[in-house]
Amino acid sequence: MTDTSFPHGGPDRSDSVRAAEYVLNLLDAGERSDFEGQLATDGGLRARVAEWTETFIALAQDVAEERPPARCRDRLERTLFAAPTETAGRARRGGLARGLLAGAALALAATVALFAILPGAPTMPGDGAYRAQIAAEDGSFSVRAAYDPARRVLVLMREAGTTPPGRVQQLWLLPEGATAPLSVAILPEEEVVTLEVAGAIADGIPGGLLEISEEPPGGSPEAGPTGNVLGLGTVGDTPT
Amino acid sequence: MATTPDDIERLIHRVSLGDRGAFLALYDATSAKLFGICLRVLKNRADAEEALQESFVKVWRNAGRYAANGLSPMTWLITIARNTAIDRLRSRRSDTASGDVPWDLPDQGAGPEDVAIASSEARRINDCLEELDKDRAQAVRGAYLDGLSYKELAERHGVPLNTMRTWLRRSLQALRECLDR
Repeated sequence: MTDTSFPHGGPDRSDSVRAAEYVLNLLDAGERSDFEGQLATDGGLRARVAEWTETFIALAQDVAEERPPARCRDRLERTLFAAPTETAGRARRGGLARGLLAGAALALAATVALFAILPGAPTMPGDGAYRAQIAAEDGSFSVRAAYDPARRVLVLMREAGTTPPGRVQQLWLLPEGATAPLSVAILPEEEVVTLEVAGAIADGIPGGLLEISEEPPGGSPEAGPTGNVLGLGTVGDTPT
Repeated sequence: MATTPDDIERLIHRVSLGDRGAFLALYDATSAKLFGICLRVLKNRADAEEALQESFVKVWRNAGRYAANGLSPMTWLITIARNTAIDRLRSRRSDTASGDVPWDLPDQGAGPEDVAIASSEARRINDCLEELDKDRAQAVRGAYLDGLSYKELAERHGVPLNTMRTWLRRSLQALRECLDR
């Protein structure tokens, strides 16, 4: 084999080698997005990627298993399901209180919702809250929202609209000046939903745009909404 | 563990339908392996815990796409964990001066006990890596298991960047030829 058979960075290296580089995360950002563009339309290339992925996975057998600490599982449950599933009643409230403390220490990527659903009597925040009406233009869907910045609590009250069968409602926030929405929460079906928010979500609510979309169970598989937007509304940038 | 690939596949399917119990069962069955992968790439427990969590959030959200990707279930899960850990590794490195990443873990090559538990597939890639020069095989392992970029591989092996690219591309070509024999 001579040097000329693999020019440095040459685009003419074989698809198989580029697929391996892709699987190994060796392509630079530009090459990677070109490659992904080609992947979208080239079944042969997808097969090469799958082949290399299965090949290299054998190397992972050499990696020792290590049991993660229990807090990882607890945090995951709280992040995804808001409360531990195996506890109820008072124990559940205790778990939630602990969860909120631990939740505050969590620094997850923006794709992970920074919220917890709070128990307790459903009431809308009074004076000093930031307010929005998350609604469809024709009034077929409407949710009243109020955010109490002191308690970092966002309360949603459903006024009109339903979720299509087999779908869930997901709440999104587009902070003022931002270009991509953040997932706030997958909304439970209750008439009044109380969310404790933190981080970028809490900071972005005043003046931001709230949006509710319908998504597959478990929420949007993408970083943003994939289903129909049921309603949207801008949050006032001063409390009322 | 008594969990078979079919069991894992069934759990992923139930997770795609929003079954929380299945999700936790999947976590219990696979988190030790995925945490091992995150630790291997990130070499830091706190980062690995976050990468593990992020990986399982992706599993919960993307389980519905599993069936379409043609991968075996553990391959899909390990790939998610590895890519999540590498994303975190790269963003961590871009926050710090380059070149100061410590290599504090020895290379975990296939020792006798690993070979004993390895599938025939694993033996094949290890056999084919054996056919490469030792440092080239190590570079392939470094890219896969430690998430090293070409630049980092070149630094680690003390060769110019373009030499490393040529090395590795040839190694990958040779590896494919060996695996297809």
